[in-house]
Amino acid sequence: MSNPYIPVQAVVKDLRQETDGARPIKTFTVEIKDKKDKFKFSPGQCAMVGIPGVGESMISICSSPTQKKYMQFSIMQMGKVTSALHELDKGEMITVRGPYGKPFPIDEWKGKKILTIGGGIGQAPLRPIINYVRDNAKNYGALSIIYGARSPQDLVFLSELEGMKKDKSAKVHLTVDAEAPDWKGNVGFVPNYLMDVKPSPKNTIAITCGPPIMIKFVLQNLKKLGFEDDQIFTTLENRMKCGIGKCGKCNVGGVYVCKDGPVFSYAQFKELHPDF
Amino acid sequence: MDNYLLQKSKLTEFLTSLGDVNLIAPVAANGTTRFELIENAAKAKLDLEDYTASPKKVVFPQTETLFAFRNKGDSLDIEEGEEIAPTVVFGIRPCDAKSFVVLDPLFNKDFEDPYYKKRRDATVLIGQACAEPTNRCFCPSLGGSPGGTEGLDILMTDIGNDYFLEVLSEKGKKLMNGSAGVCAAAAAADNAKKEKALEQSLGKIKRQVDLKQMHEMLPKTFEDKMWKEVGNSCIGCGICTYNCPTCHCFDIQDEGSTYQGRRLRVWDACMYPEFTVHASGENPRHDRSTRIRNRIMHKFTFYPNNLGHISCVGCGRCIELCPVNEDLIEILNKVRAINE
Repeated sequence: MSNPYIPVQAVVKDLRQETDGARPIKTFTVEIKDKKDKFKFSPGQCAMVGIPGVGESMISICSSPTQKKYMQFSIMQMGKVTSALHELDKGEMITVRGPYGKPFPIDEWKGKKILTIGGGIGQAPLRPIINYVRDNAKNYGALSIIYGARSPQDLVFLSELEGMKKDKSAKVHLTVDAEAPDWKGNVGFVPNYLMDVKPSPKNTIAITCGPPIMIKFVLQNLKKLGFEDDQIFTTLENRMKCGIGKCGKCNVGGVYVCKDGPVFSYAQFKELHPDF
Repeated sequence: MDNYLLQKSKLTEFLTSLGDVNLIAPVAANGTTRFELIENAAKAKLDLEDYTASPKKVVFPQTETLFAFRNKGDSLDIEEGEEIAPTVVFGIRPCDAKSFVVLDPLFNKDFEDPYYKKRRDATVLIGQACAEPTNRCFCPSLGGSPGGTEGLDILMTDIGNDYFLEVLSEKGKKLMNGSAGVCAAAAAADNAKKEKALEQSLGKIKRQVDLKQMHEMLPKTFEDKMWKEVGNSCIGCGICTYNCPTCHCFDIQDEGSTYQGRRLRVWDACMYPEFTVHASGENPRHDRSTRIRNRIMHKFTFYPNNLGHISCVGCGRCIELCPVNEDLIEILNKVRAINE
């Protein structure tokens, strides 16, 4: 019988500073040490990333499963565990257990156009979709990315997104909340920018993640643009400890974000308990 | 299955005959009654009336090591939790035994919890029918009774000079293998005495609550000001959760250093703000009213919908121990009144 509380060992192969400031974000490229410990996952799933002696945090896997050698996690320095993770150097060991949660139904989206709408670090759970769709471009329609953050310095994966613009693998629409020197892109909140970009709902799946307030208005605006409930998906978070629906922390009504989420269709989202 | 008679004077002999097991039994300590591991069978007391805490900790300890670790730089040695010796819980009340049945699907469904499972598998429950239910008891409202057998392997009922022993499971039958000699065979007349004793006990239960359709009524009260009122009097001490036989929420904490230490599972309480607060400071259950509402909806709506059991056995400890006299039954009655 396997023990779901025992993590596997992994090595930090690479570190990329995504943003600076009071809450810096780093992308960790992580390789599980022992081949037999490697696990399969799908876009949208999460894993418990930890340091024994400090603790674990539930982090979305932000690499695509098409990249088989490693996993990536983009982690904002926030609490005890994420601060300890930010202290690590390349080559140091961490632990991982997972994958947890229900993934995006990405195979059901074949043949459709994909639109992601992200805010801040909320872009991290959208990145595996973006990279999966780019790696399987022949199976999907056009890929569009709407992404915003407070300032240009707070945009994560910026060089990747610029690269996609250049190689035309995606239509990339970037925005920041306020005017900033040297920023030539759009200025305005993500939900408003969505209305400016005005994507057509025709044969399109829209996936959004960001701060709760942003998600709320993006969902409203997607409905205004004519998206049906089954064309809209989001991914949520809550405090978690066990990851397997037992510790009682992440429930929204009878739904446990760790095992029943974190991915919800808009139809499911509307049925969630008003606690959220 | 078989029934036996055990002379009260032979109780210690009976417990000794159970052999080489961890014997957990009620003991009196500091004005409370607790279940503790006892070295000497003579220390077990069955005449203690009021059980402050259930023996839930036998299958779900308040603090439990998930694993010990030693970091050797390029590798990590992980040592999983301890082996569990065969254990007998003696004198557990029927409501508390039922709570194990309520907890089983939570720990066994989806991902099987190996820590709970190994303790549960190693544990035999010898119950004690309630001769004198307390004034807080309301187990019949939850389908229980002073002689309820759910979850028990053996039930003992006081019938005067003897205990009437009912063997209820294979585990119980196996345990009696070495102990049947201490007992006598029970006759039909003894069974009648037992039935009468249990009937008398049932008549002593004063409180009740109507739970019909409660799982559907609670969500309809979600926005009701009643929850604000209940939340205003609550002081968030969490004693209702720590003494609840069906509460199962936990935290996971690391102890030691990054070089060497243990990862622990510890009881946590949904009545504390830290229980759900995000690292960002956002808290989805941000005040006491939202936390109490979640606790009660979890027990009477979410848990039964997800796992098939109401997460309450009617022991009434949360009512008795609450320092500000929150009363679960009164809250549920208010929910019904709002719906009607």
